[in-house]
Amino acid sequence: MNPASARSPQKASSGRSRRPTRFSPLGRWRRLWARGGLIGAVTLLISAHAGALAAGFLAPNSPQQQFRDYPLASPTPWYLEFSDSGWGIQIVSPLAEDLADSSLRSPGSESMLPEATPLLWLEPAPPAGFLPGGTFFLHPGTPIRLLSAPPGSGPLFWLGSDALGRDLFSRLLFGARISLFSGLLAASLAVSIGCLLGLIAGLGSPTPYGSRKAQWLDRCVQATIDLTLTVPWLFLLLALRATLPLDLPAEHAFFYLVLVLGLASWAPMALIARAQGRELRASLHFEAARGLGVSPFRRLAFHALPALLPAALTQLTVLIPRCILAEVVLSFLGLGMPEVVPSWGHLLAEIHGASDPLSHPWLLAPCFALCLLILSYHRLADSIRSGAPAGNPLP
Amino acid sequence: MILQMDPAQSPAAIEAQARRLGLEDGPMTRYRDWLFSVAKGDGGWSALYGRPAGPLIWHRAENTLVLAGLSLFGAWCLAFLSASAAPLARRRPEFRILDRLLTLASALLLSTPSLILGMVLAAWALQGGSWPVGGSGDPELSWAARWPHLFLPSLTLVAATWPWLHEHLRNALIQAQGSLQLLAARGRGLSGLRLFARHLLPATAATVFPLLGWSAGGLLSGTVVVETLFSWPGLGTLLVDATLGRDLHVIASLTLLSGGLVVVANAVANLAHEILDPRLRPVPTREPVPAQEQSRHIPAREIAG
Repeated sequence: MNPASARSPQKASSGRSRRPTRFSPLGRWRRLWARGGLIGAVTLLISAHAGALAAGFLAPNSPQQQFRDYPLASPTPWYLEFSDSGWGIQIVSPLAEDLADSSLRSPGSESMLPEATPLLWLEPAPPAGFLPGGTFFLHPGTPIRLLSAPPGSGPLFWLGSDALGRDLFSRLLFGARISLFSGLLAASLAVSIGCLLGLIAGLGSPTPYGSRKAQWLDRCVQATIDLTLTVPWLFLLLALRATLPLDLPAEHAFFYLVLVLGLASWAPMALIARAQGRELRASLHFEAARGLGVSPFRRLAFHALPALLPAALTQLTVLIPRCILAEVVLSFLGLGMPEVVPSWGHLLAEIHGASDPLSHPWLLAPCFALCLLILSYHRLADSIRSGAPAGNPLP
Repeated sequence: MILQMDPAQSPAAIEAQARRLGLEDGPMTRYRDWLFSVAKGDGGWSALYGRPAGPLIWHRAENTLVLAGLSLFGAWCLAFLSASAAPLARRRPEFRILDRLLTLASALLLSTPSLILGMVLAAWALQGGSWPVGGSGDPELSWAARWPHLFLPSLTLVAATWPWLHEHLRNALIQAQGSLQLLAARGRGLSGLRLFARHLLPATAATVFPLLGWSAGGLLSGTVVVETLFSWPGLGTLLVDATLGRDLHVIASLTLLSGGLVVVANAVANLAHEILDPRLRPVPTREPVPAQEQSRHIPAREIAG
C-alpha cells in the first residue's frame, strides 16, 4: 500500500480516472492509418475493376497469344527516360537483353536498345478475333492499346510470361474481367434473391393477430434456408455445378457460373431478411401502411426493402470475396470457365502445375492480386459493418 | 442422367448398359431407388468406378475425418492460446504488442485463401523435399506412423480456420472481461489463472459451443480444396472426381453425408452446451414466499442506495 496515495485519495482517484483515456501522441496517426487503409482499399478496388473493364486497352498483348521464343521470361525491365525531345518509357526488351547477354553489346553503346517508347503509345492492335461471337467478357481486345512493344523489339511483359510464353499481365487483366465481375454479379444475385425471398417469408410469417394465408410460403422458404445452410458451402456449390453440363460453351459459361454461385449463397441473406421482415411486420408504421390500404407490392418495395439496405450492403461486401474465391476454385478444379478464357483460377492452376514456381516468383503475381483484393473487400466490409446502425442482425 | 459411352459401341451394348443403370425408368422411380439404396447404406451405384458408392465413400470418409478432426483440434487449441493474449494484454501492457501482432496475423491470414496458402506450401515443400506433398501414405501403416503426410494438409486447414476462431474468441473474451460477473469475481480478490480458467473461459460458452459446430461445417468445406491440392484420398477429392466424371449418385450421396456430418457436429456442440453450461439448465421452481416474510424482506436496491 502506497502511503502517498492513501494520504491523498483525490490524486489517486484522478490518476485512476485518467488511465482509460490515456493521451497517445500516436492517436492521430493511428486514426489516419485506419482511414488511410480504407481509402487505399477503396482505391485499389476501383482501380482493379476499372483495369479489368479496360483490359483490352491496358494489356500489351492478347491473353492467348503464345510467344514461343519467350517461355518463362522474367518481367521486362523498363525505366523512365528524359531527353530534349520529351520523355518516355525505355523498355529493355527480352530480345535486346539476350543480345546484351551474348556480349554483342559493349557497356558504352546504347544503340542496340530500342527507341524510347512514348508514354502514351497508341498502337492499333491486330484484330485478335480468337473467339467467334465476342461478347464483352470474352472479347480479347480493343482496337487501340496503351503501350505495346515498339515494332522491331521483343514482346513487352510487365509481369513476365508463363511456361507457354503468354503474357502474365494481360492474362491477369483479362482474368480479372471474369473473376471480379462474376463475384460481383453473383453476390448481387444472391443478395437480391435473399432479400426478396426472406422479406416475403418474413412478412408472411404467422403473427398472433395476423392472417395465416402466406404461412406455407414462410415454411417453404424456412425449410429451404435450413437445407441450404446445412450442407457445407463448397459441397453445395459442386453439387449445383454438377447439374450443368461439364463443358460449358464459352459464350454462356460466365452466366451459368454466376447463376450457380448466386443460387449457392443466398441463404444467409434470406435468414437476415426474414428476421427483419418479422420485426417489420409487427412495427407500427408498417401496420399503419397496411391500414391505409397500401398495396402489398408497394409495401414490399417502398417500406420493407429500404429498411433492409444496411444489412444488404454488409452482406454484399461479405459475399463478393467469397463468390470471387468460389469462381477461382471452380476454374482451378476445371469446373468453371473453359480453358480458352483466362480466369484467375486457371492462372492458379498453372502455378500449381508448374514444376518449380518459387524459382520463377513472378508467376505468383495472381496470388498476390487475389490476396490484396480479398483484403480490400474485408477492409471495406469492416468499415461498413462498424458504420451500420447498432442492433442490426449481422452474421 | 446422361449416358457417357463410346458411340462406336453396338446399340445393344448401349441399351444393356442403360438398362443396368436403370435409365429406362422415370426420374421418380430412379429417385426412389436411390433413396432405398441410401437407406441400405449403398448410396447408389457409382458409374465412374463401377461399384456401389457406399463402400467407396466409407473408405474415403476415414481419411477426411482424421484430417479434419486433427485440424479442428489444432485450430481450436491455437485459437484459445492466441485469443487469451487479449485479456492478458488488458492487465499487463507488455502483452499488448503480442495481441496486436496476433490480430494482424489473423487479419492477413483471413484474406489469404487456403487455395493459395496450400499451393505455396506445396511448392515450398517440393523445393525443399522435406515433407511429403501428395497422398496419405501407406494405408497399411497406422496414422501415427505416417504423420508427415498429415502435416502440410492439416497445417493449411489450421491456417484457414484459426483466424476466424481467433477473432470470435478474442471478441468473446474481451466482452466477458467487461461483464459484471468478472468484476464481482475480481472484487472478491480472485486473480490470475483461477480467474481466467474458472470465470473468464466459462463466460464465453455462448460463443464457443455454436462456433464449434459451425467451424466443423466450414472445415469440411475447406477440405475440398486442401485435399485436391495435396491429393489426399478423402471425400473432397472424391467429390471433385465425381463432379468431373459426372458420377451423379456419388455426388448426391456425398452431399447428403456432408450435410449429415454438419448436423451431427452441431447437435453434439448443442448437447455439450446444454450439459456443461449451468445457465441453460431449467431454473428450479421455488415455493412461493408467504406474505408476512415478503414484507420483512428488504429489496437489494435499498441496501445499495
